[in-house]
Amino acid sequence: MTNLPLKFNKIVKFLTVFGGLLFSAAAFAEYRLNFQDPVTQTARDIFSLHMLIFWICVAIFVLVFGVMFYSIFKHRKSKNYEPAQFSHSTKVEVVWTIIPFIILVAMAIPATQVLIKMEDTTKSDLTIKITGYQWKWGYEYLDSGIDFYSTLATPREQIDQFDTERAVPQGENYLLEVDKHLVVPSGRKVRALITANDVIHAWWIPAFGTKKDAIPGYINELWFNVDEGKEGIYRGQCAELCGKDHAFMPIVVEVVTGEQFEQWVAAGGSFENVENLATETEPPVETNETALIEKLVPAANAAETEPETEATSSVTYTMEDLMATGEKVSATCVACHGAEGKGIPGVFPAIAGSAMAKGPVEDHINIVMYGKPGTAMQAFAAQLSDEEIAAIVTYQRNAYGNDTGDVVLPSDIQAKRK
Amino acid sequence: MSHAATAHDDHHDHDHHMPTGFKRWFMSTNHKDIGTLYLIFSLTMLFIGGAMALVIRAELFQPGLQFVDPHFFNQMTTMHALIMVFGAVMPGFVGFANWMIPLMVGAPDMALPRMNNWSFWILPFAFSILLLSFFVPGGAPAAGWTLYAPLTIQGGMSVDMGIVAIHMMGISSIMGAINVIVTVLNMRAPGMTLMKMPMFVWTWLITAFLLIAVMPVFAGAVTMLLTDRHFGTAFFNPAGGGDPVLYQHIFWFFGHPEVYIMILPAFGIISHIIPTFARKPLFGYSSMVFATAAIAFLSFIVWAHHMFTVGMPLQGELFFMYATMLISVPTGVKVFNWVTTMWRGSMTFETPMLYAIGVVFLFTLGGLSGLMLAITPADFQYHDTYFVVAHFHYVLFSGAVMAMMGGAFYWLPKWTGHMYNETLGKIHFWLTAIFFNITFFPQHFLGLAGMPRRYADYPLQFTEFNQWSSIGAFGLGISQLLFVYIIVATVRGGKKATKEVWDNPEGLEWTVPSPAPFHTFDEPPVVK
Repeated sequence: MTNLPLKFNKIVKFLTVFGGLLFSAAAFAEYRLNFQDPVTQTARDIFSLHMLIFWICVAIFVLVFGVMFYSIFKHRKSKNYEPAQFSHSTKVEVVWTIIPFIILVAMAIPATQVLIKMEDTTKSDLTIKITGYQWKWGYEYLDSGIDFYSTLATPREQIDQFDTERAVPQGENYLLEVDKHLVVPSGRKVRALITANDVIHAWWIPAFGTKKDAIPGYINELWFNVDEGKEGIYRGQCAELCGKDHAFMPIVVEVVTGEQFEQWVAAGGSFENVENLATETEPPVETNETALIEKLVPAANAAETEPETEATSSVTYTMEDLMATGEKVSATCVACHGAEGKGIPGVFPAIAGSAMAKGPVEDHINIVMYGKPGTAMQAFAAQLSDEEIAAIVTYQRNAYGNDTGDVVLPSDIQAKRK
Repeated sequence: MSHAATAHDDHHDHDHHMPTGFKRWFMSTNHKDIGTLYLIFSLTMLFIGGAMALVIRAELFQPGLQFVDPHFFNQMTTMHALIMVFGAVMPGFVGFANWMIPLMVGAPDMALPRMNNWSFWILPFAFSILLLSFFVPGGAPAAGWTLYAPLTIQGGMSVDMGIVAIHMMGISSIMGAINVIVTVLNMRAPGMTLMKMPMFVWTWLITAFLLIAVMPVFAGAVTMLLTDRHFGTAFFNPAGGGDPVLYQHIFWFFGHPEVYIMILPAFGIISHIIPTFARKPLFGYSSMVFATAAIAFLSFIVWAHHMFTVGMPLQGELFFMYATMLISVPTGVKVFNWVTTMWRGSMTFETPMLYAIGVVFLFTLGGLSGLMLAITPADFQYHDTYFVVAHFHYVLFSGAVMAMMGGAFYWLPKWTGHMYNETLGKIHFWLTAIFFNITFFPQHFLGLAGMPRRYADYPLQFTEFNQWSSIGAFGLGISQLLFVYIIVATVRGGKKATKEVWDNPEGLEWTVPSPAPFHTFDEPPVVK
């Protein structure tokens, strides 16, 4: 290896080119190298802890490998360096056991302080129950009784790029947009109780410095207190593998001022005037989903109160109405059973031509409303209104070539509610 | 195998009949042949698991779903990990153990040769069952290699096939471990006291105890999963009052020692290569032994650092944070010892040495990101992101796998009797090291910026680094074809290797001819 310096030059050249590419990429890309900007005290504490440990690690790394590379360049046979034959030194070995230990203690002290603060969920101003579902989030404001589900709003056409000719360009908040935001006030300690309905999920907003697993059968706690003046929209994603659509259940939190929050609660948690609340508003996405939300919010609210539910049942439904609604609402079914109702054999059964969709209508309604234990088929009775379930069942019994001609009415569903 | 062809030259061989063909390879009780089988198996699995990694990287090259649906993507991530951990890394090290431990301790063979045969031949069947699960309805297991309940309770019959396969590999590993322990404790050459044993033997002895301690725990966990799935129990199934977190505790009680099972033998290999090419004895031999034992002990009391976000009590989080941080002390001792071994040596940089330096450098990088991960509040941000993916590939690929590659180049002349092509070896090292870093270094940034792991699709701000990573992965994958070429070419021919191969290396393996004859140390050597 006499020509190593020459090779080293080549490596340096390569690294320069490589580095240059990175910098040129930086000119047009919006990627980042480090944590998202913190907006809570906790996230700031974590950030400084992270940077402290990082710089300690860098210092150790530079020191150790400075010595190693010095040795590699100096103590080589090609320079006729005569090898020493020492093989141990108790003094040195004790020193490099004790010094790292002291460094660790120095790291552990601030880490412990931050951790103790993070685990203190007492004295909260507001409690929200967060439930993970395959694959959406459910939110329930325990103080005001507002509850809703929050589902991915990115249209399927942007996700499915298998056929390049039909591909649609992806929007700015691709995979980070939902139909209904979790609305929280700034400057107040928000405590969240986190659980799941089916498998384990994890609720994470990087800018808040919070991540907690949502585990069925457990209620975990976390809290955050967003700085006043940092109102806006913050986005996160599910962080624990939860099956097929793990990557498609984002979390969007809309932080508003305390006053706006009171108004929002007073209005019963309506999403119709969302743009008036947020300081940073999202451009409305021109998709079916947006239209759907507007239509569904009153329906979902209506489902909560008994008298209004009865009022809806007096409306007459045609098969065309139900089919049209069914096609839109069944996005939640399509996640597993596929756009053509073919499913994935062995895990997600087909709807097209299935015994369930062509057999007794009772069974079909039952499985949609109450799910099938031990599978990803969950109970939708609480998540969807009578009208939506009726539309879904009607749609599935007549689409995908099933053509049973059955029409299921919202009143049929209401009759089955336990 | 050419060492078989030339084995007749050695006088040891005259007394023994050497079988050929089916009888030789399928019914072998010879530690060298079984070692070869293990190594070939491991390399095959490296390519199968690598192909799955490339499917993952192809899908992640751009946002949106271009090639596979998310369900198949999850099968890929799950199977990639299972195959690499249980098929490539673990059997790879058992292959090294089989070949080298008897040669290093001056024993004629492993202590339990028939069991040795069985522990290897279980593996092809275990992995056939695992791989066949791709063809059952619903495809292969897709719940991640950790097989967390209750997601695995939802899975199809492939989960059951996976459980059977895990039981079989567990049996294989435990038998292999027993064999190592018995060989090392009973069959050392006269005069070789425990504290004179080569480091590779020491690390494997400790690894073997870890294997025996934790493989049954894993077997227990997956059996409970099986009964939850089929026999109405509710250990982990919350629908029946079971506890999903219990599964994680049991799994990681196995899973954390498991990561040391995969790295300790690598430490052993590095501890042989560096002294040889620095022409200087290993620095701090006894502190190396104690550090290895300390790491093994600590590995049993840190498991819950994989589950900081499950909602443990504060005291639990603090305990596991402190215990985890402590591991960096003995690991640091090892790194310092290697660097000091190089210090004032007379170094040359043949391929094995390049690998050893690469491992020390890159493994330490992974170790330092591991220290960052130990800090609980910060771990809340890193947990289940690409930062973790980057971290464990730095310790597993540039730690374990690259150490095996270095070890292969180091002992290949002893195994085959031929020198490998030094230029090609060096090219292979540089391609591997550079593409590895292009693949995994950007993943640190992805994780910090907030990209969760096990995602089939991602938001747009993660695109650039994913593209770097995908390009690197394909380069890394293709470069390994060169590795296969070098090995095949060396087996077939090349410059004849001397008995010592390198410049005055230490160890009994260098006292037997190259290639090592079919039977060695019929008469035990005496160690002074």
